[in-house]
Amino acid sequence: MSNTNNPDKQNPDKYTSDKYTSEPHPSDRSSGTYIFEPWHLTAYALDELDDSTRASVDAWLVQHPEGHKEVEATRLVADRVEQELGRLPEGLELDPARASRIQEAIASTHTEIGFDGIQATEVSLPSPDSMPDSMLGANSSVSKRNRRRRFLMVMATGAAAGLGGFAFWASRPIGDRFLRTLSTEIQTPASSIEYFERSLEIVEHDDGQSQVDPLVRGRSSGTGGNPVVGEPMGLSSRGTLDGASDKFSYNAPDKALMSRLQEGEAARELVEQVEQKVEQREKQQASELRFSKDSLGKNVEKTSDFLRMPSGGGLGASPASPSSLRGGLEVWPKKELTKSATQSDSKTDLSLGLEKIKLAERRIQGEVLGDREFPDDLLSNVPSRRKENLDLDRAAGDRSDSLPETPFESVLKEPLSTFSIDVDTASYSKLRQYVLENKVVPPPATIRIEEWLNYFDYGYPGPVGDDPFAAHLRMGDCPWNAKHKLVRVAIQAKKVANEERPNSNLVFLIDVSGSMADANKLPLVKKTLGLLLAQLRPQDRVAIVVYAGAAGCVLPSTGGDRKDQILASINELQSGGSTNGGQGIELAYKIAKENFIPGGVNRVVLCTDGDFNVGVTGTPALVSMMQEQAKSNVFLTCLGYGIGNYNDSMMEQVSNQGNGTYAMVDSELEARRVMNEQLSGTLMTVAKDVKIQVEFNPAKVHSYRLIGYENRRLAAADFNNDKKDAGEIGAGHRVTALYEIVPVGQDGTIPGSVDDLRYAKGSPESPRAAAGLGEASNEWMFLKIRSKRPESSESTKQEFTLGEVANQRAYEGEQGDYDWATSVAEFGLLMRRSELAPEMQWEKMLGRAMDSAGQDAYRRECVLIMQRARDLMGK
Amino acid sequence: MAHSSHELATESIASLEADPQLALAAKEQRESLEASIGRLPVLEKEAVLLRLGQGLSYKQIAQVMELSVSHVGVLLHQALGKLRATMNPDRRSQS
Repeated sequence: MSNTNNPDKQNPDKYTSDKYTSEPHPSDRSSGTYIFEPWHLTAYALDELDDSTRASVDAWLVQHPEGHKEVEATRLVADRVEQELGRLPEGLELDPARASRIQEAIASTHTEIGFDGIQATEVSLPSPDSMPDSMLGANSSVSKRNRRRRFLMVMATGAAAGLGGFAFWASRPIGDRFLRTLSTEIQTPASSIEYFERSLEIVEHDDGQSQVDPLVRGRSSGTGGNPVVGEPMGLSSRGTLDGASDKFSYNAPDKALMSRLQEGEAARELVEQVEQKVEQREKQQASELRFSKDSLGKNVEKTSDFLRMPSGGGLGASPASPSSLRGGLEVWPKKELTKSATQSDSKTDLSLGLEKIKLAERRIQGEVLGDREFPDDLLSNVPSRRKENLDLDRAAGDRSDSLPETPFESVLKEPLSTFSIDVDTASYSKLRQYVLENKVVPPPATIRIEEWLNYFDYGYPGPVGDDPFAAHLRMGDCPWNAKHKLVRVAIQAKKVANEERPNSNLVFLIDVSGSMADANKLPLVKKTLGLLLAQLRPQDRVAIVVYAGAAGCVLPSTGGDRKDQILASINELQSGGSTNGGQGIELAYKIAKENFIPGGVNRVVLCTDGDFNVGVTGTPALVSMMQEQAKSNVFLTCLGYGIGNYNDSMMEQVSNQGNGTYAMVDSELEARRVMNEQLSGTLMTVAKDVKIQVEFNPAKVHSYRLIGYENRRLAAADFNNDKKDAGEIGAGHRVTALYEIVPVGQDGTIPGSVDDLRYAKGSPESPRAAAGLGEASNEWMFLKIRSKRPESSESTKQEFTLGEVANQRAYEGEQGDYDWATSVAEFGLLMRRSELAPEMQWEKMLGRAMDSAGQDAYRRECVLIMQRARDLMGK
Repeated sequence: MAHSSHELATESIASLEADPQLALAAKEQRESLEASIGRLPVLEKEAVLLRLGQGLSYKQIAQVMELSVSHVGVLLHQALGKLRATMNPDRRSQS
């Protein structure tokens, strides 16, 4: 545990610099768009990534199917090892050098924590699993991992030293069992308020309960618990917890341990920090938010120290009584914190207070504990909870409703079919999760066939010239109804060559002060940078300047081909300290000017919450500084993060003066949008408000239906209405839609059709020729795509026609793409138990899918899903 | 963790143990895995034991081992890579 015993600690970067980069790196295999490190893939497999990195890995996996294999293999190994370690309770020995000290530490505690105590603990308390949900709180995160976390906290607290963790770990099976039990027992509901107050009070109170680390409770974020501030948690659990703590605390710790702790500088520092914190707390009762940011937040960042605070710090100050931790705790300032906290709450607006508490809670969870809200018990069932959450998020929106199957539409009644493009693919991810992992049939409401279709890559050629889109229409026989035809509408957005974009010289100026610790601040900044990184080309340059109390350049201007280096710099960023924005601006502009690209994009991107509190702080001073800098032809983008210290007017003025634009980033979605629009502009988004309208020729088509896109349909009149929003499409994106059409002459057979209209033009009684142009032409349908250029507010239209099948010009591999799309659609219809596809058949569909899957790993995986799904459906 | 690979692994071991001869092979395999874990460098082994034996999160391991989270990540990445390399031949010989 100590530095001396841990040589690698001295040089933590050793791994990241040599050993690690000598390994196969995702970048070696990628097209240069990865934005994570190799170890992240392992962490991904172990479900240990934060949202942003996980998203990066997901993105990478999409482009690198071989990565899935890696992930699966890693999971397999991890599971085997986990199994193995669980199977052999005697476990594996630590390295003797490190183990001996641990063993020493165990020796003293071992005798006292016997099985009896453990058993008693086990039976005397209700397990959280048996608790009613209400007790756990609406948002309770009773998860395996949380228990583990608590277990760690208890270890660290109770075992009188940081070494306790190892001590108990190494004392398996006893320690293990005991701790597992214990950690299970201490699940308690606690209201957010209670938690927050406790997190403050706990280190200062010496009422005997204080050995419980605040982090132990940090996960009890439910709102269904006891709302009374400072009220003890549930009695039964409290009893255990205290009992447990006592068992640990009263064991005489090993002498070596004691001396180490007594010498521990960290412990002493922490005593001071806590004292300061208490003072600040008192001073800043009126501004609790700042307090929580600046003092609590920072302390919490030092988690490893924090862990030892109550016990280690206490011991350090009370060497005389090694057998009593409580004696040691007397060093903590005795403040009536509970009282003062309550007072401060009553003074301030309650709702505001709650908001702040939530904020603080979020930060603590996000920064210290990682982001894990998923109940643990479910985690074991749902390994890829991210996808689950993703869908839950979506389910919260309007897309969870079960969409009725669209019936056929008569061409005479409605010759136009209009819809907005959709390049989402979440429904397919959900399908994969349901079928491969949960082994259940997905609920029909989650099946959006258009998302399945659009999940896959097709070889659609892009447009030539200046057009934003190319369209490829192809008609074939409908696999699930021999009398019908199926038209595949493939739209390929322009593939923007990177060379067409002017070279960029970007200097990121990132606020890493303490106030940026919130999950929606610095972590989101990192995410934003990651998004940008994927778009960099070798000729682009990126530098990163950070500022807190002082400004420093963490990444000199670096070419876009050094993505690993840029990424490493991004990942390193941590928040802490005060905020000297002025100095940062000067440094950032200096670097931008040094690397100026004539004719290119030269830009300083300021990412901050606007809380400049050191150095040049006044808005007028900053503004004049910006005016000066703006003369250099370096542009400024101000990105405002977070809601806490966000200084809107200052940001606005600074950006106005700095030739700048200013945007607020409050979510990853917004980050993406900003990165696309502000930084790379037309680069990524090639068109916005993209609408598709198809007109059918009544001389050829009796009726039609669009497969999927149920909730993307637009009224025909919306097509020409530029005020009506529709989807955006990025460079290289493609959209696939399938129309099932009933040719004229087959009209007696449509399931669910209505009678033709007697009086309408072109109704059976009147000659078809009345439909006009249709009869004369061989065209089946007419496709119009209306879209806006990213920077434009007016739309342009492109038109395509589908002629006779014999005249269709195919690109290479089109038949395979077509067959694949029809297979996926039929698969969707089968899963939805469509009533409009009388001849759909698993075997035929699978045969076609296998033939058209080719070497595409994603298609092959889909075939597996199809097969499994068939089994699940009992077919 | 109940994802497919885990179940596969469980199933294969269960079925192996039904047959005494295969049970022996399975036992050997386990022992070799145990030995492989034992042969890992100190820090890697600790990280593996804490993550997969004790179920601590990366963050917790980082706290206990006094390393950065990314260091823990690298340790586990390397450790699992090595264990995977030693497991693969086993799997091949089984089938």
